[in-house]
Amino acid sequence: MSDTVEIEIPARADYVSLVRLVVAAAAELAPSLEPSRVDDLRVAVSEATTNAIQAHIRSGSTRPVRVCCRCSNGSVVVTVRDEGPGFDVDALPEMPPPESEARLGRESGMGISIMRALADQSSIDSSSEGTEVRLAFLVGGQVIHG
Amino acid sequence: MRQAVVTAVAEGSRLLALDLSELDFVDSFGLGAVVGALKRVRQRGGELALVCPSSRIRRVFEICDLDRILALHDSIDTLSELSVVVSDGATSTRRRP
Repeated sequence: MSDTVEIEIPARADYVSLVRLVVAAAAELAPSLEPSRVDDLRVAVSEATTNAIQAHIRSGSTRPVRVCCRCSNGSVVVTVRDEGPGFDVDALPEMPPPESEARLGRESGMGISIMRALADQSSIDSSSEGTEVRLAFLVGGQVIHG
Repeated sequence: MRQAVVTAVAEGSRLLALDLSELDFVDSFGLGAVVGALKRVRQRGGELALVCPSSRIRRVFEICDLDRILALHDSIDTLSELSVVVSDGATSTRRRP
């Protein structure tokens, strides 16, 4: 048994905070998801939604971005879908080492790393018809950063 | 914040601190702004520190390894040298206690 909340937003940056708010509120209703994990969820979903909106803006799409949040006893799973041009998930440029001079030239490109680090499970399916990001936060799960 | 950093650097400040004490959320866009500020300050031979007491905010910086190139302080009181502190887009000067 799971509760599902779905929203469609215009592809505009000022809607990211609304998505954050809705998803966090839905997740807080899920039993036993630690508050710190809800914070992780807010950040990860924010990154996915920002990327989706940017994909629509770049491609000139006027279609909405879709966000679905499924809360169950064992997990909170959020999917963010866009209808942008897609990208090669395996060809994302690597971030230069932090100590290198080149690193300071990269003010963007950190979102996917953040999403992947914060979610217990994540996947990105991308094609020329759009991209779907799936972020799962498991009740009792804890991402260890080392 | 960007503008406050640009102004402070243009006015000759070399030791800057961004006060993130009141921040309750940061994402990659915010991190990008901090990286931009760090680049700008270092181009003038300066250094940038962050006042970041929240472990939640700090963690996002750590995920991107930015804690390796930025000094993260728990409190503004631990800034030991003359610094221009940028907070909420405004600047103030802090001297060694």
